Amino acid sequence: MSGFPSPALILAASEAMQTAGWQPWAYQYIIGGTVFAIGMALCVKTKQIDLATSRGKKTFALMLVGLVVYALLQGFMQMVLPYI
Amino acid sequence: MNLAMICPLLLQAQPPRHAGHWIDYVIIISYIIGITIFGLAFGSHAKTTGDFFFGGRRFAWWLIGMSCVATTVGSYSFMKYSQQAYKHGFSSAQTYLNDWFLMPFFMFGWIPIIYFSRVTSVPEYFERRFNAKCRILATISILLYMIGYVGYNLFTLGKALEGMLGWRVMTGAIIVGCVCAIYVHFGGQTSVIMTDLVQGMILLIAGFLILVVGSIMLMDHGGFWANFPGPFRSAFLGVREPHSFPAAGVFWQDAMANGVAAYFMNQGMLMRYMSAKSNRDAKKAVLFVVFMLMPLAAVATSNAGWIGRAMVNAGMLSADSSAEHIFVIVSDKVGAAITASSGIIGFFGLMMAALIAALMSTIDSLINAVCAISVNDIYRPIVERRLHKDLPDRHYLAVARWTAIGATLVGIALVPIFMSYDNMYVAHGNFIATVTPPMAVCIMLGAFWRRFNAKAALATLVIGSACMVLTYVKTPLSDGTPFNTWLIDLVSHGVIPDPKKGHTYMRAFFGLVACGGIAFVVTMLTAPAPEEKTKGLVMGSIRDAMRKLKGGEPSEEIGEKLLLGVVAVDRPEGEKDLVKIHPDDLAKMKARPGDILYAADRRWWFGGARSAHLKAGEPGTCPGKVEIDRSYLQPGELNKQTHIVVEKIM
Repeated sequence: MSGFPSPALILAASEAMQTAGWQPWAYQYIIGGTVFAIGMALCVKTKQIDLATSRGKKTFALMLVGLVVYALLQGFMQMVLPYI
Repeated sequence: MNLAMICPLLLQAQPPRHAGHWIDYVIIISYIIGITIFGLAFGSHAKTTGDFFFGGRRFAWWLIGMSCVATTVGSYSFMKYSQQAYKHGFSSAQTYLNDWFLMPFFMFGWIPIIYFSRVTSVPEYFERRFNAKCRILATISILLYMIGYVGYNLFTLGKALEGMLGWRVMTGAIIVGCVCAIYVHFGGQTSVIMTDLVQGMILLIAGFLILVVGSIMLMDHGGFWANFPGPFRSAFLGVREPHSFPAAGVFWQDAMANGVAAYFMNQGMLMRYMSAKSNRDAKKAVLFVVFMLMPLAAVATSNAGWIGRAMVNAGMLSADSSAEHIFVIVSDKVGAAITASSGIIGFFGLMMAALIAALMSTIDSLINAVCAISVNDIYRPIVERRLHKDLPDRHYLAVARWTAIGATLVGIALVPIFMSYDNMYVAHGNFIATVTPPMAVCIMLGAFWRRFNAKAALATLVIGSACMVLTYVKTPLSDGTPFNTWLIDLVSHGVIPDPKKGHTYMRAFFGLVACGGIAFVVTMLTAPAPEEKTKGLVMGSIRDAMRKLKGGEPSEEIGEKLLLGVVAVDRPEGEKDLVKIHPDDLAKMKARPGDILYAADRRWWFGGARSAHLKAGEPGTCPGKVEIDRSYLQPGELNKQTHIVVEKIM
């Protein structure tokens, strides 16, 4: 046994799953990102995140970093990992 | 008469896949006994319903966070996500990695609202925000949601035990359910949180052990990566297909509908966040959960499926290995390899302990939550409003304890219903998708849209639920299309339905659209509630709730935590919660007389298990000391401390 999956196995897996490219990632992050943006806008408007204070700015940045980290992680998994 | 004649349900369903070594059984039994004793040790301090349901609202963020993850990861998680991981690869993690979108609403809206308004349950919020009818409907929906979860967890554990020991599903469910019932009956929220810490660590360790050992085993066959082909490494499958796991469907069902259900509506999780020592700690706990622990949990629960897929591709497992049992199959394989290579016995027992830990940590909080709703939203209102009786708190505590037994029995009775479904994930999703959308829309609009009113909430709950029922009507239309497929197709934007079952994932999206539409139309056609009624209950008026809770203007400035010497005193009635602290120390804490303080054991690893909330009184005269009434030291178990850590909360 070579240790690598047979071409037939890979083909079968590909047919069953189809590497979907960037569309599902974009779908999730465009819609989810809009929901997130509405939430952040509400937080700022109601001063739950007060951008006039340094603590508020840090919190705002932390929330954005969270979104970006998840977007990068899943983007990498979706668009790079299948081809490594 | 033998056992088979007495109870056919308890017979072996099939030959055991793994009978286990006696050491495995020692590990399992020791674990169950140990965790029960541990839980009872902390639970013995539950003297009031407040202790039983909320643990005195005193815990640190990391304890709450770990407990939340242990609660989120149920026994079904290992089975369900391993199954999905085996079929679809890394995309099984999608469900654990898409919670962030709702976090602004949850962390800065819902948590402060429930924390500061001091509601004890979601139904109570519904009565205060809307009216009593909405509370009744919310109570019914949430009880269905939670008791269903209890049954589902028992079912999946029964499935695991069936796979490993050859027992019938009901046998495992009954045994473990009974153990849980006893454990929750005596423990309260405190014991739930403390045991969850241990259980959370065990299930994460066990999950990662499979990944590490499985990967090592695969090294002789080309390695994990080589046997895990490209399509399996994607974060998502297609937007609209395959029908078994479409990215759009998973997004709407898991990120949106289930996300709101798990964070906003799950009474067990909410009670956990309400047990935090402060709003700040509750928010930190959320960050810890969503950003750190959920990705770890995604790997821990899915990796048996990933390893299983790679082993099949490498020829180490049969290609027709059952997806449903892949967690058990891989655990078995890994355990056998450990025993063969090192002679260490007990991996099987550890896996079983992890499964049981996952089950107990989920079910105990669910049962505790069912107790809270049964007592606070059903029993207490009947006694106080209908029977006009004023019963002592210990009476309600006793009712709560016995409700724990009853809820578990109902959960066990639900197991056969779950057994009739052939795909566990879809069964679970259908259940959630049916009960969640009307409640989710009401919670979200109630908390974030002041104009949303009682009439709109009632219409959403009633008509929205009716719409959800319609999604199960399969009557064929003139062209042969089932009615429910046609109905969901109206909004499914091309997501492919299952040829046999119709739409499963997109049912949640249909529900959100239908309920959202009903809510919007009725809201716009009716008058909003007076602003006074919604104060403190909608985002934008949270400061009102803080003001009401504190009894004065809230101050959110964060000062230092100080280690102060304890001076036990006897304060007059009415001032027992006031403490005296030197003005210099108050200044370091950025606290003023009237502020809410928090005093805890100096050993941080207690996580607030020994602590109390206090109020700053008139400034004291001794620097480095805190004068505190004896009666406030005892409940927080601070009476033996010479020094305590004091900080300002609000």
